[in-house]
Formats: sequence, C-alpha cells, structure tokens
Amino acid sequence: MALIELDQIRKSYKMGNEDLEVLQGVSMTLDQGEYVAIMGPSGSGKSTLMHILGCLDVPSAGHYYLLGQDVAKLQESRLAPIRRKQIGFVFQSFNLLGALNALENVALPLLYQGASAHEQRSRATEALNQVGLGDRLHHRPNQLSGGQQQRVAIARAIVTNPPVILADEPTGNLDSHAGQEVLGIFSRLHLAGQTVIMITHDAQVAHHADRIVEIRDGNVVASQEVTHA
Amino acid sequence: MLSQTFKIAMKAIWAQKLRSLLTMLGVIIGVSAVIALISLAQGATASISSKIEGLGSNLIVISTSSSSSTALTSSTATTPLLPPGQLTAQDALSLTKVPGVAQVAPIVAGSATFAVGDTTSSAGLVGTNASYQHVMNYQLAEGRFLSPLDIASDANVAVLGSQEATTLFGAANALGNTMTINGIPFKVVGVLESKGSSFGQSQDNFVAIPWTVAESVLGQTSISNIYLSADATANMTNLTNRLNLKLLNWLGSASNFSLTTQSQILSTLSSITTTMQDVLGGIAGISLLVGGIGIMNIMLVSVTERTREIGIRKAIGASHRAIMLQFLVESLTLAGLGGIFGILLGTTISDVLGKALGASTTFSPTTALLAFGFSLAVGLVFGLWPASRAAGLHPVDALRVE
Repeated sequence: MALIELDQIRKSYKMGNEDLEVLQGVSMTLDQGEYVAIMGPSGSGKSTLMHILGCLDVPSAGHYYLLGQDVAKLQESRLAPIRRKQIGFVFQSFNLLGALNALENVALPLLYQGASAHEQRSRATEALNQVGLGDRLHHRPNQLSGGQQQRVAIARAIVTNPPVILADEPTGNLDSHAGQEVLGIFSRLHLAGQTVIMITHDAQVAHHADRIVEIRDGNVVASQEVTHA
Repeated sequence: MLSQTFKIAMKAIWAQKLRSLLTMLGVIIGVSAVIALISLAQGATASISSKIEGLGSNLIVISTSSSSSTALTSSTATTPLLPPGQLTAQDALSLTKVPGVAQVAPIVAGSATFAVGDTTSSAGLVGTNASYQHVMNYQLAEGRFLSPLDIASDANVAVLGSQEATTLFGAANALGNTMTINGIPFKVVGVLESKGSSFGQSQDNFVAIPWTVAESVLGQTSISNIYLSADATANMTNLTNRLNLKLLNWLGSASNFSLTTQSQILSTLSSITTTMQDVLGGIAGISLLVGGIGIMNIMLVSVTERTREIGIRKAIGASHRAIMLQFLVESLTLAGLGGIFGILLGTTISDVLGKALGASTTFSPTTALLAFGFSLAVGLVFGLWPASRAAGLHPVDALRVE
C-alpha cells in the first residue's frame, strides 16, 4: 500500500466572480521511506498542494488516500487528529512560539497527543539531541540563530514519529551554510527510513531528494529520479 | 493536560502584565465593591440589631397619636373613656395590672431649655418614673435614678443623659449641683452612662425628671409614649392582644395608637437591610458585568493578535477543543485572579472604611465565595465567544497572517 496517493486533486478559489483553479487534477503516489521534492515556481500551486498534503486544507475535488484512508472530504475537526498523528510540519519561517523555549516548543505536539509531562520532556529532549541542540533546551527562539530555530522546528516535527514530514521551503530563510545543515538533517532522517516531502523552488535544494516532482500551473509536468553522484 | 493549559494561560497573562492587570481591573472593582458594600451593610445590620436588643429584650412601645381630628370621627363609634390621644400617666400606670406586664414607664415628653449658670441648651425632657431605667436598660454613671418617692413627692430632681451632662457641666461634677429647666431649679441626682446612638439619634442627650413634675413644667397631662417590659415568661402574643384590647377600649380606634414589640422592630429592620443588601449587591454586580465585557474585549483582541500562534498550534495537531480550552482557561484565569484580588481589596476597603466611619464590618465567607464564583462565571460566559472564534479559525488562513 502506498503511503500517499493523490487522485485527480483539484482546488479552486473564488476570486470575485471567477473561479481560480490552482490545482487542476494532480495525481501522484508516494511510498514509505521516500524523499521527494516538489518543485515549481511561485504561483505554480505547490503551496496549495502542500496544505492539502498536510491536511491543513481539503481539495475541491479528487481523492487523497493517506495510509489507505480517504481524507479528501473530511471536516476540519477530523483533520486535526490526522495532523496530530501522521504529519510533521517544517515551515519556511520556522513558526516557533516565541513565548516558549526550545524544549516547550518541541513538546507541544506531545501535549496535544495527551502525553504525560514527564514523557513530553524526555521525548522532546531526545528529539532536540537528534538535531544537535541538546545544549539549547531552555533557549527562547529569539536567542537562537535562524539555522538553530529551523532545527528546533525539525525536532518538533519528528518528536511524534509521524509517517510523513512535510517541509515547506525549509531553507528559504537561511543562509547557505545553515541551509546545508538543515538539508543534512533531512538526509539523515531519510537514511533512517523517514518519509520526507520537501517543497521548494530551488533546483539545487531539490536535488538533495531522491525524486523531483515538478509542478507548473497546477499540473504535474515531470517526475524524475535523482541520481546522486 | 489541564494543568499545562493553565500554565500556558498564566504565561500568556504574564507576558502582557499591564494589559492583564487593566483587564482584571473591571472584575477587581466589581468584586471588591460587592465585598466592601455587603460587609459594611452586614456590619451595620449587626450593630443596629445589637443596639435594639440592648434596649431590653422584652420591650413593648406604645405610642399614642396626637392628631385629634381623626380621633373625633372615631369617637362617634364608641364612647371612649378618655379624650382621644390623651392618655394620662395614671392610665399608663394602670397597665401594670395587666397579666404579663413587668414594669411600665409612662413618658411625658417635650422639649425644654436647660441652663446651668450661663450655659444653656435645648433638648428633650422626659418625664417618667423609676421603671424607665430598667425598661430602657440604662446604666448609672454616678448618683441614682428617679425614685418612687421623687414621683410621689413631686421632687424637683433630674437625672442627666451623659451627653447632656457634658453639655451643661463640661468636665465639672454635675452630681448634687443645681440646674434650671424652663427657669425652674432642679437638683441633679444622677448621671447615666453613655448608650451611644441608635438610628443616627443620640440616646444620651436628654434629661429625665419625675412625670408628676414634668406635667407642670411642660403644661400637659397627656403622654406620648408608654414603655413596658414584659415578664420573662410572658407569652408575647397574648400580652400584646390584651394590651391592644385595653387601648382600643380607651382610645376607640386602632388608628389612635400603635403598639410595637421589639421583635417587630427587628423584623422590619431586617427586611430593610435585606433590601439594602440586595440593592448594593445588584449595583456591584453590574460593575462585575462591565468587567466581564472588558475581559471579552481583550480576549477578542488577543485572539486577533495571536492568529498566527493559533494557526501554528492547529498545524501541529491542536484540536478545536484544545484551542477552545486554552482561551477559555485564559479568560477564566483572568477573571479568577481578578476575583481573588477583588476579595483582598474589598476586605481591605471595608476594614479601612469601617474604622474611618466607626462602623463595624462583618466579613462573610459566603459573600466572598459567591463573588468569586460569579467572577468565574463572568470569565466563562464572556470567554466563550472569543474562544470559539479562536477555535474556529481555519489553519491555512491563520498561518497566512504575519
């Protein structure tokens, strides 16, 4: 069974009197353990696709099978538990909560899963160790560099051991050195068997993945394996 | 989960200290007003009640109406033995024979001018008998009260209330000295101890003389009041019935007199103070309501400001319920803290006010608990809408906000 199967996904928005169709029938299949980059210029519909993949939004038409379950028509109240259990998000702008320190930020998804305070602490500490921030547990986001903040965000994404990690332009706000560090973490996670979907407009970044799906004007125009030298 | 949600709420409140304090201010003022006003009202009630009880627990007051026109019309119905509204002290004293009556003090009252040397004062003159002291529960500071012999012999002797003694004699010793009442000399034989004031009226600025003498000083034989004390064992209902019958017989109509027992005074008073408390509590409750609207306003602002935070929380798996709970707990915490501060402030205010006004205050834990519960309810009710707005945000829209 495929981990993710998209079947003719369409998404349109009302813009005044006109319907703007951002996704025009996207179909693709992703298997467990894959590292896929979804690449396209801005306005290609890749962000909308990411929202749908991440169960933050539902398509106007089509089917989305996540672990065999069609989630395309689910209500928001049913999507929240799916996000909680199946998906880890990494955003371009990190999206950490400024009032919380690194440990508390990483523990937050576990809080929503109902884990005990003790379990939250030990698992969040472990996740931060995994991204090399074991010595920054009690730093606030504004006391960390951009690269460190993004690594905290990755720790928050992996702390629940979700089947899928969704990264939206994870290196977009970072300098090249910090970007390389973050990409290195994704590669390591992938080697350990983690499924990673990365959305980017940057071909160089996309080449870290095993497969690149190119999207343009709401359609998949190419899907090719990457051969690593 | 709940304790962590509470911690998150405390963090959010602490992060905006000044704003949180201002938000709470409405509730603080409301709760402290409830506490202070009600404890002052209860304190006043308690002190008035104890004063009334201090009058003597078996006190019965009979007042005759002095309006003779109403009395004339009623006199056609029966043939009263006396001119209406014109009871004499002799009639009053005959009430001693009514079973259940312990002592009777007739009051021939009027105002008179008192003088000692160059010092003059105008105050109440009470012509009565020896029973007055016991019925009204006065203690003597020095000397003696009027004696039966004074009455029988029409002696020109006077007993002074403590305030009147100070007015006339100052720090000097009043006992044994001479004063004049409407120009007639009297010898001071006693001074009463202070009894304080009741219903804002001093009970210490009067002069008591034998009623037999008062009749000639004031030029009247009618009495305005009769103070009776009942036997400790007497059945009050039966006794008041008997007295009512007797007075009806004398005066012809119930409109010509009133008969009040101490328990009646107490129950009238308690109904007045209950109403007073309800009104004060209601006014304070309105300010609590206004405080609640303040909380709602700030919570709505807070939801708007933290839209992105809500989006992030939703993206990492927070359910509708979890977001709702977070904001509800926050508004409940604001209201609850406001309630606690309000109780502290309210007790302080009532203490300070009580000391300043010389009134006693009663702190009622029930009122405090009620006010706290009400402020929590305010937090819940006015937190619901902002919380449901936060929980209802669409994650994509919420994440898009910068």
